[in-house]
Amino acid sequence: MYKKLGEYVAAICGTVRIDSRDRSSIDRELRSHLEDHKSELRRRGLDEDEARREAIEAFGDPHAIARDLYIVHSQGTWRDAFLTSLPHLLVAMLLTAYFAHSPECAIALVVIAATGILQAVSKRAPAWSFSWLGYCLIPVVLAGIMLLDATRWWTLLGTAYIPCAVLVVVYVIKETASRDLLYVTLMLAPWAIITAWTLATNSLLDVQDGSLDSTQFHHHARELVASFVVLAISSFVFARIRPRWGKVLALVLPLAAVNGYVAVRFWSQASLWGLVASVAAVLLVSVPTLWEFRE
Amino acid sequence: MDNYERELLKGSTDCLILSVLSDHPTYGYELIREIEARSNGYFHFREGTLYPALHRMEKEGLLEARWDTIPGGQERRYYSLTEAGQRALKLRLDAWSGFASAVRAVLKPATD
Repeated sequence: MYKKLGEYVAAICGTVRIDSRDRSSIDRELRSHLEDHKSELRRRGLDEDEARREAIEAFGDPHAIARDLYIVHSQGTWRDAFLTSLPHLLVAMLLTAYFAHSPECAIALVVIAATGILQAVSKRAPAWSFSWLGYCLIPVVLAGIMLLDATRWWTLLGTAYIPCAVLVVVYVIKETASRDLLYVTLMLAPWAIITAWTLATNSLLDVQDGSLDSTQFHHHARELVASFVVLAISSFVFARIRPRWGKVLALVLPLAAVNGYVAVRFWSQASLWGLVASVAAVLLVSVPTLWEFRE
Repeated sequence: MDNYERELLKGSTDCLILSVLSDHPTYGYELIREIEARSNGYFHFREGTLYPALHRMEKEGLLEARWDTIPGGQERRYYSLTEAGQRALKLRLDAWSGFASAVRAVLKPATD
């Protein structure tokens, strides 16, 4: 039994994984309600403990209330859904522009990076910003890969840079997980697709050497672009759908479908390690989402 | 309250809330007490179920909410009807009165 009203309210609000400002408002509102009820019961002659117990009992099961509140507040607006899917659409456009040898790709890249970074550093990241955040990690990781293949002086720099880059990535993932585990999967989803396409069309050695062959990307330009369009649609559905299990399916299924398609398409030419890495990427990205269903 | 009555209440919660709020803006706790009082204790909510309903209607644009601090220093979140809420209430009352008279007309011979 809860010894304080605050503990009971925390049991509700602690499991409602929504925007912190909304959660704080719900906390104040429920607390005020319970205080009102307790005061009324005290006026009727109940002692402090009885009044608290009865007020809590009348309020109901905290888990059921938290679930219902999550369902109400987890649904993003149409604007939120559009903004969640926008970075993937921009990447799809960027790839289209690249394959068509268009200079607009550079402008699109700058827009994506600038918007994502602005959102990443904002104090109150809205839910849709997490799908942008994944792309912000690309320069951090790419710089590390490039340093691996650099001269001795740069390699020394690399030994200093790479642990810092790992720390940045771990910090971003940890902060995202503290908000909601599902956002970790939303954030890292493009990485699973990038890994699958890169390793399906290049050997691990090529990736290590930084000598990626773009001919295969050109041959499969439409499918590559379609992968990001699928990601955009799944992010849109993720933002709009209410039940939590629906959000999980919206994230994991399209990702598994895209990587499954890439694996089947390149079955004969991809290396075994490439296919294993592709499957591992989907599993790793999905783990945070599936983790909460462990019980 | 048995399961059948609970289902009836579930379908009418929005209408009851909108109806009370059409008279005057109020906060969650008072809203529950008023519904209980007006129904002579018939409608007895699990109090926590009220807030998901209020927040949903606020998101749908039927209600708007503002924080207010009473003289004792306690904060309360007052809900009031928007224009869309007033229109929704009118539609629901019309639907309800049509439904109620149809049910009465069907049940009347059986209860005579």
